[in-house]
Amino acid sequence: MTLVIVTFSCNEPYHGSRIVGNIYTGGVIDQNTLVTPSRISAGDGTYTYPVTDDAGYIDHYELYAGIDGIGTVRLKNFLIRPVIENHHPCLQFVRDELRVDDGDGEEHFLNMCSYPFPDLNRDLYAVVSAAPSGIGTANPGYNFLEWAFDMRDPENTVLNPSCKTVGGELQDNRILYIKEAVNAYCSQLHKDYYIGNPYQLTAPVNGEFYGLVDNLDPRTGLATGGFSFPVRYKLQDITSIFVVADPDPDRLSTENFDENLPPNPEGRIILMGNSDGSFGYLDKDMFEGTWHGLMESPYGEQIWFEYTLFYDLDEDSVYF
Amino acid sequence: MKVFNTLVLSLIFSLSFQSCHSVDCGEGTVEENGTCVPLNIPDVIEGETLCASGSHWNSALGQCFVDPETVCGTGTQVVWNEDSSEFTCVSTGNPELPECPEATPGGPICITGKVRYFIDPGDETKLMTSEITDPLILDQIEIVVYDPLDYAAKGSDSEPLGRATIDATLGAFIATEIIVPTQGYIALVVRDKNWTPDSDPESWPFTGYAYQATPGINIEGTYAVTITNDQLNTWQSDLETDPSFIGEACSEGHIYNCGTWIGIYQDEESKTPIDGVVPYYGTNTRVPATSMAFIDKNTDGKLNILTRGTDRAHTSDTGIVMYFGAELTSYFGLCDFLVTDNLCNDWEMNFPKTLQGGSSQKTLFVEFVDGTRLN
Repeated sequence: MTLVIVTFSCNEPYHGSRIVGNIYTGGVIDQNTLVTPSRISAGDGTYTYPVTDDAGYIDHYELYAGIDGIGTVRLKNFLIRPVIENHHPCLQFVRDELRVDDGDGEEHFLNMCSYPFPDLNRDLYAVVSAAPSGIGTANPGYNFLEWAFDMRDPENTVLNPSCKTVGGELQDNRILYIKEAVNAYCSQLHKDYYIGNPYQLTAPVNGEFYGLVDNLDPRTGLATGGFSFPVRYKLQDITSIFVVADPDPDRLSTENFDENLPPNPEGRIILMGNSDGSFGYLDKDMFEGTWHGLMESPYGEQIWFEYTLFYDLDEDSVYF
Repeated sequence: MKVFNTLVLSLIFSLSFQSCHSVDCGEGTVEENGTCVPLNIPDVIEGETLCASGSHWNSALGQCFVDPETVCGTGTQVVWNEDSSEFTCVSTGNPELPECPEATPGGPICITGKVRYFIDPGDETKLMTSEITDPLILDQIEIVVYDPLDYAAKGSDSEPLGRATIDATLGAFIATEIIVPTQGYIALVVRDKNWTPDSDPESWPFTGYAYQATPGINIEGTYAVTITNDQLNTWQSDLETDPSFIGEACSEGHIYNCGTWIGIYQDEESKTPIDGVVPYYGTNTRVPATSMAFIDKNTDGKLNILTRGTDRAHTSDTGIVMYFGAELTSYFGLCDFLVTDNLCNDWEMNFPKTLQGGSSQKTLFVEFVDGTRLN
């Protein structure tokens, strides 16, 4: 009897791989341009949101591996988002838990534009999960100026909120929303739709937080960066790895999301690393059980993706 | 019995290790959660359609490769290895720039480079990056080397340090035998061909761009900057929409007639333009709000918004200010502490008071103002 049970237990599936990486940029790259879906800064704390057919629009990123030099496999869809969007409707009714109760009997919420500025919307970016497209209000996209319009309070006069100050006074700092409508809406978002947590970045309000794009934390001035996510494929035989900036949201539809689609011809390879060293490198010899590599821009842009690849978690000698 | 138990335990032990992770996926497949799934294998016929933009299909190897033209710059050619799997960028052998004679220590210098638009009229998002290589355009201009401090003091009475020769084939210029002034500044000036003192521009206003130079050390591969007359007129028209402003900004009524200094505040190390800088000159004098304007970006990133100093006191994220009727003195900047959401405050920028600048009548003068990041 014991023998039978043990035999079945050995049909254990492959446990996948894990990538631990760090995306870092040179001084000339504005990390806001890495945000997906794309947004354009007006320079005064407000943003506009291009749409699919606009030039330069990037919807999301897709991480690919080349296997044996003969084919590719789509490893991961992901986004780069500001860790906190100051004006995201789903954060407008987060209680200010640290506020001293002044006995006024009112419910107090976080003021996302309080002085002094650690502007996490502008200066700190996260690598996060991508949610499927085309699933209606469960993934409304990230242009909340558009999708949250119906939830605005009739008394609201602010159209495009910012954290701009004039004479020390905040200007247009907050859109007024109807709390019940917002809470109802935000409670039914897809599990992979990212909303940052102002109290603890690593535990997002919604979605998956893989880590941070390399930068200085504007709150402390200390260097921060690095992320990690699992990959469900066995990467024993990879010969290249690359990131495609993809403009097409349909590639993340529920039908396509987990499909191993080939790289989109309309996409742009922004990072690439090959085992032959023609772009970046992939070192399979330096460490036992883990590989180390670097992706670089094939266009010479100042962006890099350095990573450690735990290619077989079952065999890895690091013992997770 | 004891022997039997031992055998059973050994069997359990060995089986538990032998049968795990035994999936062996064949060529063209990869293991996904215990199952072999097919790879995306580019088809030779359809290969071209599978390659992302900026890459191309190699039918022999069945792979997409990055387009070499996007990697190899001008003056180089693409050379493939034997199996066409790798390429290198090899110089064409044709010089991209005229060749300077070797400078003697402490002696005159040679300067080579190309001409760039201050703002590219074909793509207004580009600041001082677009080179002019069209021989027809190059034939309309002349490039002269001046002591910028001398020019700011004397105007068109200043004697040039030398004149550049333009090689229209290379789209480049060379100026030789330039004696570096004692204060170490030289300015490359682009202006209409056959320019005469105090003349109005036909197509290419008198535009200077300064460098620091050292005797005996050539400056090769640099650039001169030009501003089109259309651009100048656009700025002027924009400012004239408020007659009271232009009247006070410039007694001559035109920013070219007054002479304009264009400063670009940036971080010295990263070259990032700095917003939130209030322009200062002299020992500690604010550039008058009524005599300056800032060049800003519109929502498309085009540098076509002009904000008067009376409407805003500090630079936007372009870092660019224009000072009309600027005098010859030192230029620096201080952070505007009335606004907080800017790089100047965030980085605690320090702009030293050592940079000399200025302008003269019928002159545009472009200069980077480098600051040091303290935070």
